[in-house]
Amino acid sequence: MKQYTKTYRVLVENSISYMAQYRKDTWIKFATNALWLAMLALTIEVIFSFTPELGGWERHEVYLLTVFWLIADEIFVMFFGGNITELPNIVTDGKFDLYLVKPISPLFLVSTRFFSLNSVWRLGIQMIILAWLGLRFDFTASVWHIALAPLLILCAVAIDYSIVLMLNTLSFWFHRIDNVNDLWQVAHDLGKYPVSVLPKTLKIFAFTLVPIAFSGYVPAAVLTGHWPLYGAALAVGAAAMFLLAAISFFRFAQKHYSSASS
Amino acid sequence: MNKYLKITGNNAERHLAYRFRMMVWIIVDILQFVMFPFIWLSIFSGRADIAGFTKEDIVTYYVVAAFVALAAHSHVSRITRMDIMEGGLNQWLTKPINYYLQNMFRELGYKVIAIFLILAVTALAYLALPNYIRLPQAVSTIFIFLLFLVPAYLIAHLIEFLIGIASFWIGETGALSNIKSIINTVFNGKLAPIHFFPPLVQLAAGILPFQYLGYIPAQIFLENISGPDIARHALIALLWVAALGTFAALAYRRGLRAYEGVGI
Repeated sequence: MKQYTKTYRVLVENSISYMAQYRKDTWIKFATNALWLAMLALTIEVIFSFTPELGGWERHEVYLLTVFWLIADEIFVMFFGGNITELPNIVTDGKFDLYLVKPISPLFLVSTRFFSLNSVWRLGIQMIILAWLGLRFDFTASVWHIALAPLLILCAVAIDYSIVLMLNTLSFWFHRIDNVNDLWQVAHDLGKYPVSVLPKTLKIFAFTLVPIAFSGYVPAAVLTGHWPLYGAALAVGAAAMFLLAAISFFRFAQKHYSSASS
Repeated sequence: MNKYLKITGNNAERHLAYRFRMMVWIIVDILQFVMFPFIWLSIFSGRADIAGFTKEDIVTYYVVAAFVALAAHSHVSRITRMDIMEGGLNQWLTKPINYYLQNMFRELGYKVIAIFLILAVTALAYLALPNYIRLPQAVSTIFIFLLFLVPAYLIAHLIEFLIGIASFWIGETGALSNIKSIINTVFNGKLAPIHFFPPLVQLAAGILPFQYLGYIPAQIFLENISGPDIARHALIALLWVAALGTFAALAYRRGLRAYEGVGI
């Protein structure tokens, strides 16, 4: 554990040093992110200009769902975003050999190589928005609800990580599949809205094969009382299951890896 | 012209060699539109229409908007940026071929296959949901709608090309591409038909060219725009093509003066 902590600290320091060279880029990404948040808010306002509720969710609840989605997504991007998506290139170029010869888990290196400092600032803004939502609207959340919220967001991050890892692990067998990350990103983006608007079949998909419901819908549903507290157990169970499946699949792929050589 | 059509054919063959990859791109382009019909349908609950759109109109709108997005969407900014930054542009400067046209005809290779596939998917959607998709009453509407795909493609391609050649001066254009993507999402009618938005947003949409990448063609298909308004929009779309084309040509020529061709 000590070895992993020390290694991760070095990786984070390297990432910060790298990002420090691109300060202008940080400001540009900040501005882009602000524009994107404004677009999300505009979307919600346009929808609610025609209705007082969406799939049983009121405006402030949909805002909460969106913010939870943003926070979960940002945490994933911060720690894993730019890393696992590089796996197809690493495998195709034969660079995975270098990961195998190091005295540390290849999965750890593949997952944590780069730490996104920009995500820290964006996460800060999102937490401020969350705090403002909490103070501005009465969510009648108990202490249990508030305690569960971070756990549910972590479950969302775990599920997102698992899906992205499983998709990119396919690169051990298939070439040129880097665009599966775009596919998951688009599907994942749909989780910003209440999945209760979907028909039954698609709702089942949203909780199983394409688990977009866990990013924002489940945490917000538990916090707002749309789901009972024990609904959180579903999220924890799903996260554990997906994580186990993803790690097992990666280890299976690793055993069948034959170097591409250079 | 033969050489450009050859490029289209070569690129179509290349995409057919990587069928899975191409299918993924098509699904990515369509999937962005999946949630919104359900959002708006859930709002109806007993109402006859929302801002003049019936349930059939809203589903048809998004199916058509997805079709137009697929037909108009261009990937040329990424290719152009890489060519400029890695020196790949050098080979095109020494060939008797126009760089912009070769990019456009290369993109057409993907479009030709993608449009056939999306037409098949749309036909399946119509067979599965005949009560939710409304076809135009006049055959001429379909013809006019298809004609509007041409300026839609040209406008999208020129905007992407302009972002790509910004690399001559600023190198990495990721942020510019993201900003364009956000503005495009709002003003092409993907989030909602533009007349659902507040008046200020509608005014901005009327000034910008993005409405021709989704909203206007979809409204023509729904026969919500007809006669003189179609002619007016056709003229505006063509003016945008001319303006963007002129600007792109001038910017490209200017950029070549700054180009060093060494790769970054």
